[in-house]
Amino acid sequence: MSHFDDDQLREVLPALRRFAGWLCRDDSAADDLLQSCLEKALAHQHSRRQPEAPLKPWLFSIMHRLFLDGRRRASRWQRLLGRLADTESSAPSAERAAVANDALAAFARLSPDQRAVLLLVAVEGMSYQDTALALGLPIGTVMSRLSRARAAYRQLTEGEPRAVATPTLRSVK
Amino acid sequence: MNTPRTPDQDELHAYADGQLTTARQQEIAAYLARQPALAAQVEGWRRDAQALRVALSQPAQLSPARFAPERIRAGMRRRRRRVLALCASWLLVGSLGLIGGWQAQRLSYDRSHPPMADALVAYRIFASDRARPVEMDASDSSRLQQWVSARLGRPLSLPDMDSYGYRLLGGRMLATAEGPAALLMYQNAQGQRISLYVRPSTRFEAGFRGDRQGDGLAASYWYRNGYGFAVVGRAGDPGTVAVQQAMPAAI
Repeated sequence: MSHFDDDQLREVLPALRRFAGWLCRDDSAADDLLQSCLEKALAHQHSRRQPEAPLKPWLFSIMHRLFLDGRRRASRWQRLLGRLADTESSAPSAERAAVANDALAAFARLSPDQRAVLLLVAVEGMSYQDTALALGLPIGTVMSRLSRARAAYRQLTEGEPRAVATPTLRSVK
Repeated sequence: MNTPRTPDQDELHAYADGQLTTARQQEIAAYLARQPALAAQVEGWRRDAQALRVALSQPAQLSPARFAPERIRAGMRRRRRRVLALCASWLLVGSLGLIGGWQAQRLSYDRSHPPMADALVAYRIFASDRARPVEMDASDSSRLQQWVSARLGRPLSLPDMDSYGYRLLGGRMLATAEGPAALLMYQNAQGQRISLYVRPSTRFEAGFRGDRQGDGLAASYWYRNGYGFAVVGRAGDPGTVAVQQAMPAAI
């Protein structure tokens, strides 16, 4: 039996594509990533390990895993090539031709990890739990990355860090 | 009435993202009303999120048709078919090579090892021996038959070819790679000789038969019940073909 149908998948498609775009920072690589993510999802359409789990974080987690695998492979190649010839350690990712505005420019300058968390939480509106699921992280790591990502983003958009008295004490539950 | 807990950093993020219960959201809103600096920070997060949402959800982000599930699925099917076809063709090439090689090997083996070749060799050696073509002559035919049958491991009758003008001279036993071989020698009034040669063989199925000529000899052979039989004579002799035709039924 099918636990999600094509319409549900179509609904998540723009969000997935956005995620791919900001993971890869390169349009053709992002399209390839989306393609393999969709293929994997459709291949497992009828055999999800937890059919009741929400669709969106599941799809995001597939994409994120594929992305990490790809990066690992790429870095292995890089190491291999590096041993043969002293190539530059990592080619600068092709920046988008035109960054729409300051928000995007600042977002683009975040680290990939921070971008992923901020994108899922702030833009996709996913719960922390689902974000942790999608990125394969413990929830505590999601929270600290989110915190750092927001601080970094603020700093980038305002040009200077804002000294704000944040409570350093954590509530004891 | 207990005073609300002071929210920690994580909870402030959760508040900004609207991920708390309504009651807790309200408590924190009330708390922030008394903490303008913190409130400004949380408000900044919200503004940033809003700005990112606007900036990132542009219509340009809409998915092209190639990512429609049907298209993806069709592409996967196409690729699977291609892979299957490739596998099938490799399998075909492999098995053709295997079969071809096996056939070729078999063909070349058959060519270099014609069936019952040893029968012709035996004929060439013993039929030309005028003095002693056989080990045991046919004067006591029942003793000859018992001896040959016992050595061969199979009852063998001594076919009578008198009506074709060929008289049984006698027989001899030979050792071959396949096991014991019996050779019976016949001779007509002109001194022309024909041999019947029998030995075990599983090389061909029962019923396989054939004949061939070479080096002035004519051989006909057949296989039955795990034994190979051959009748060999001189190619030109008129009686050879007749005896060859009569022999299978006479045994």
